[in-house]
Amino acid sequence: MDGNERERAFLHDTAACFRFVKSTTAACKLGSGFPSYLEPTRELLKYIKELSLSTQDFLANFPSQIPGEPTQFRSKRELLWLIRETWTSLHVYVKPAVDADTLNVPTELVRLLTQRVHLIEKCESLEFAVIHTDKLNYFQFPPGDFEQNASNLGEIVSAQAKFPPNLGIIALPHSQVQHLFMNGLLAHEIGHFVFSKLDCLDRIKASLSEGLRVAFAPPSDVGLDAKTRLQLPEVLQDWAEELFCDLFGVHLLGPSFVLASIELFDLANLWAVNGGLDEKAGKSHFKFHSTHPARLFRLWRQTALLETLGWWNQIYENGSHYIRIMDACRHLRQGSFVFEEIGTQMGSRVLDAFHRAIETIENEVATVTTNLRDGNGLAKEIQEFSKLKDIISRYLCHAVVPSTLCIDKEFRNPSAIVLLNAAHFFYLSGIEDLIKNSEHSTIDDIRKRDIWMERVENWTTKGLEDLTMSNELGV
Amino acid sequence: MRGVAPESSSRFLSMALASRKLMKHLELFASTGQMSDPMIEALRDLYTTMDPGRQTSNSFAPIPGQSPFGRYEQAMVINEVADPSHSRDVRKKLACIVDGTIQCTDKDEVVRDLTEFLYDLENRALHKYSEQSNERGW
Repeated sequence: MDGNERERAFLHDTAACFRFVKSTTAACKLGSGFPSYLEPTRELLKYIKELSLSTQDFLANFPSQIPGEPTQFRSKRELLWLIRETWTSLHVYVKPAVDADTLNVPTELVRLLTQRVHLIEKCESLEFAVIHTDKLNYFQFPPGDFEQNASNLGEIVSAQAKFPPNLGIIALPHSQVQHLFMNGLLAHEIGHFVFSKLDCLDRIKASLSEGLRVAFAPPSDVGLDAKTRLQLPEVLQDWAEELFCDLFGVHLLGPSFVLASIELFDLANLWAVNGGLDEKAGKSHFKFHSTHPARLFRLWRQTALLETLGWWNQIYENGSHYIRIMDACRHLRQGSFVFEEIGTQMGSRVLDAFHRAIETIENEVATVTTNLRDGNGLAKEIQEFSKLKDIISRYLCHAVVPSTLCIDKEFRNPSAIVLLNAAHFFYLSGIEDLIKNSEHSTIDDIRKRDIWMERVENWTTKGLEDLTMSNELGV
Repeated sequence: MRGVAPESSSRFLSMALASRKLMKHLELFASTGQMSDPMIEALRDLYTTMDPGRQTSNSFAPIPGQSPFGRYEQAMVINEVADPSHSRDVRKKLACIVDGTIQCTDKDEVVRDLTEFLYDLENRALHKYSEQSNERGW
């Protein structure tokens, strides 16, 4: 390839990359009318657009001084590939963020979650851009997936815009936007962001390493190859973070978070006819996987935390089968679970290592969330829940939005957490009463149930909106 | 509930970007002698990852944290690229910058060799990323 040919090829490839980058962000249009975005999502879209423009500026000047020396030429040409691959990865975020306007995200729930997070020390300025995903799952995009890659690209192309340091990106399934209660799982995803921002791993990792050291003390380490020694710390790190986020979700939202977990994983499938756990139906839920702890382990620890926090005494008499599942989980033990991916015997030692670190992880979550409980915040919430849950249920049962309650001839607003939890329990165990109250349909009509379940979620959302408005107006 | 496969492949993209950024820092270091904290931290991460003891030791690897170089899969690639039999002796060169013992007369050569290593690392990481992002259809 002579100099001219090399230069022409380089110019073409740069222009092609330029066009690619320009087109990936063409959908980021931030006008003043519709669609409207929550501020963090608007901030995310603005950042993506600015990064795109900086990349385009960089590429516009890129072909100057095309090196003739082979190593330098290769390096310069590869930068085009790197830019293209990075924008291929960022492209994934653009449409889901554009689609997540205020009509297509659970705005009130996001506001509630953000308000709760702001109570936590050093989290007062965290914000969350909630975007869509086409997967039926909830995600927090780890810093490496967006923030780090976008920031690194920004530095390479000398972008002026910096990624907002307190902005977390969270995705929820686009089809589930209206499912208020299940969207409580966003609390887990927020936990990932808090875990990273507060460097929680730094305070946990010593106990993970120590757990491995003790569980695999000679001669227990016979047969442990070098590759496994290198990989196991990652496995424990991932489990620790998942457990942290689950417990964080419980601290943030109370029992509603646990109920949402049961629904997402359909753990109610494990409810045996005798009222216990059907171990045959739930076999795979006892298994740890290299990226996630076993589902029943997670439910076990979440339920244990509800007990520690004082919620359990207020909810265990609820007639929902979800409570029966949680109750059955309370009898699980460390030995109930397996990790088979590296052999049963070796796996049990890994679980032993992890169990040795659980207390440290649970203490870390408790420390991080101290402010949610301080000043008797939690005790007041639980007491309020105890007092208002039946009243909120009665309101819902008569199709009344339970944001302003008349108690002893006085009007009062429940707190948002109490409203959410009480309504969630009504959703699970009160729909039949609502149907009986509301029309002459039978409770076994699934289509009718669907309608009434949706209405309970809508009324609860409206209740949360009312509470936000009351707070903003200082009422 | 993080998606496992996308995160795994994106770590290679993170590594490629981190390598390129480090090349940029080294270029600045070569021309001005200026060393930034992120550059030292990244060089130290690489140095630690390339510890030959990690491959043979009877102890566990450290908890990897968020480093783009620290995970098992990434560490394997780094060690493949920085083959210890290779004349560049990358680890020694990383060490002399990190501990500040680099001599002015050696600076250009050290930076050139490390840049070449980082280019290779970026290249390998991009190939890995492309291979693992197999949702593209072809």
